Amino acid sequence: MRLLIIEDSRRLRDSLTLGLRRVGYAVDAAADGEEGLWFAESNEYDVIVLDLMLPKMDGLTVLRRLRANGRDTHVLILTARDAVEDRVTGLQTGADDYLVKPFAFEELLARLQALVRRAYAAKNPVIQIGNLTLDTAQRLVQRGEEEIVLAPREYALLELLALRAGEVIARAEIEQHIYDDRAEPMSNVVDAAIYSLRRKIDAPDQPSLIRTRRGMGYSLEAPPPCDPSENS
Amino acid sequence: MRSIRKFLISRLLVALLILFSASGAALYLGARAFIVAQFDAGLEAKARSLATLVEWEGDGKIEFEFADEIMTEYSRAESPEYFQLWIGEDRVLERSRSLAGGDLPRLGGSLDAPEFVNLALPDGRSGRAAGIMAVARADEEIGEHESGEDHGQEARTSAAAPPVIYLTVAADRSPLDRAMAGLMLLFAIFGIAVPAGVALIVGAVVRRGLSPVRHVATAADAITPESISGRVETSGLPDELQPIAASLNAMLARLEIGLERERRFRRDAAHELRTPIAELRTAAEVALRSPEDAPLHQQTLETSLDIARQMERLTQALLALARAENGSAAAAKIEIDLAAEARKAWARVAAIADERHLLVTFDFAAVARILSDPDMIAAMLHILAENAAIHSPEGSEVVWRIEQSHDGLALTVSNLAPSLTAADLAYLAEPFWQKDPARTPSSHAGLGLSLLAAYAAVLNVHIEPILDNQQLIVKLSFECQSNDQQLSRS
Repeated sequence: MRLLIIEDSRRLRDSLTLGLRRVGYAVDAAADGEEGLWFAESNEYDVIVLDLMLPKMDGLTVLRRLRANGRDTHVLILTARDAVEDRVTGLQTGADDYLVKPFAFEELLARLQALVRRAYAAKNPVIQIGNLTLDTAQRLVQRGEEEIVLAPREYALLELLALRAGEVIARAEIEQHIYDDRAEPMSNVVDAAIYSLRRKIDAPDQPSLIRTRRGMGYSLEAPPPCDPSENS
Repeated sequence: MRSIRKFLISRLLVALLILFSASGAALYLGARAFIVAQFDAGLEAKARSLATLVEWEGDGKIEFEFADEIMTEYSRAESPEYFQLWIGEDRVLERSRSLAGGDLPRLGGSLDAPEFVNLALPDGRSGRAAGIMAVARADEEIGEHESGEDHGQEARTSAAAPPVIYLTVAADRSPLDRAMAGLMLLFAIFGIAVPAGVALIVGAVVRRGLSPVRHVATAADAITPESISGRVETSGLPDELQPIAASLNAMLARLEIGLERERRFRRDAAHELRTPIAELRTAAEVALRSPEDAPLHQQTLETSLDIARQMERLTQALLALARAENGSAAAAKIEIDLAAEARKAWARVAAIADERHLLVTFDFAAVARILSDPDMIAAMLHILAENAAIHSPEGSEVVWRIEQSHDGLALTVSNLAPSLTAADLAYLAEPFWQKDPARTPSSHAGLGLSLLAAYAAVLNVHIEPILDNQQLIVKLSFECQSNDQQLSRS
């Protein structure tokens, strides 16, 4: 999943970017409102983490312009302002969540995960694909009872495919959601990531859960049930 | 609690009731006297007319030319009137037939001033009598006498002059009593209706007159801290309430400014305190999630130390500000070379100034000694130096100047401040105020100039920020009381 952090505190921005990338998110970061708005309008993000007191353009103005331009990306406001009127104003302006500084990083992660699920209309944090279980709250992947350890980027890819299980997702879209602006364009990072993920989640001698649709993209689907009549 | 409404109503009611009561009583008494006078006038007229019927004929003969068939009221059976005539004090000359042998009292009033009395009539009715005393009228044709005609009663007297006659006339006073009763009833009715009406009218008028006061009170009640920008509407208020409403609105404006200042302080303080804590917490939590990443841990420790130092400066500044503002900062009194201290203050920020390529000019008077607290003076000068070094545009000039005036010394620090406006000067000494609304984290929380102002207040130093052609000039004035420029505390 791809996030945008708009925060003028360099220390906080760097810590958040590092921490979220290590969890598996692709993260872009902006230091002021103008830069943040440009990022938000130029790319597709799953969630935007937005500070309110920003130089050049304050956070509420960024949010208003996003919504006015039809951008419905989920926005989590992260700010030191804790007054009720500030929360109300932020939510009424179009934010989806509001977190007051200082905050627990775990709580930020949980709120981001909730917003990501909401973006894909998934209420249940546990997704079942065949015998593969993905617990988005715990960031835990199991095949049957066996836990599968994935690298953060691999988990992010699996989560994207699982949240849109059954849908064909284009390679470019996968790249946009899984990789931030540090990724090299025209690379085969998506194919490499799919390959790596398949090796970990697919059961031996079983069809891959990840289907390749040539020229279109990839989808995650449960294998069809066994049909003995096919062998006749 | 005193009530203007109750006061007005009670006083007006009492005054109006006294007025109406006095007027009513006077009117009643006047009307009563008039009615009685009218009745008495009737009696008097009857007495006079009867008196004219008495003739003295000069030869001792007195005639009373009364005819019952003409004055039938004295002989009728229904509600008759009565008269009795005396010659002298003892001799009854004539009685009306209605008296039937009874007597009326002989009264002593004169022809011009009859005597009136209330009495019981012979038939038991309440009556009123008028009595006159007069001299019998002399017959102009003395000696002439018409015979054969009944001219009333005749009598003889030995008097050589017309005798004195007494005449009492009495009549039923029930018409008078009825008139009096009607008058009393009328006044009784008015006596109840008028006060009641007055009470209602006074109450309504006072309530109506005081309704603008209630309106102002209601409007003021509606203004809360959340709606402090509201004001009391002055248009349509009576002239007497206009100044009150204007004063109320002026007070609300001052309150609004104060509340807004408080809100700004809370908001800015929250930001300055919360942001470094958030930075510290997030850095630590992210580092703890990667226990094997030694370089990250090292970086996090360094970041933590920076933040701790920043918080330490902030805490010290806040404590110093609190001590200075609540008067607990004790000021020493030691001789200080102001010029030397200013140079020291600039030296402490020289690294910043050099990095930003700032030019500095010192324009100091030859003698610049003051008696004051060295620590606070040093802190004040450091704040001025740091402020100028950080906020001046790169490559610009900072000028320090000490001048002597007729009442002391003035130290000014001036630097270019293109982003400041005249309106900003009012906020410079506000704790945590920063020109940058984003409050992008830095090592400076915006407490410097507020601390400068607090120290100045403790040391009795006048501080004045001036904006002149994009130059910010902060002027510290030290009042001196002696010719050798020694500062003494007031």
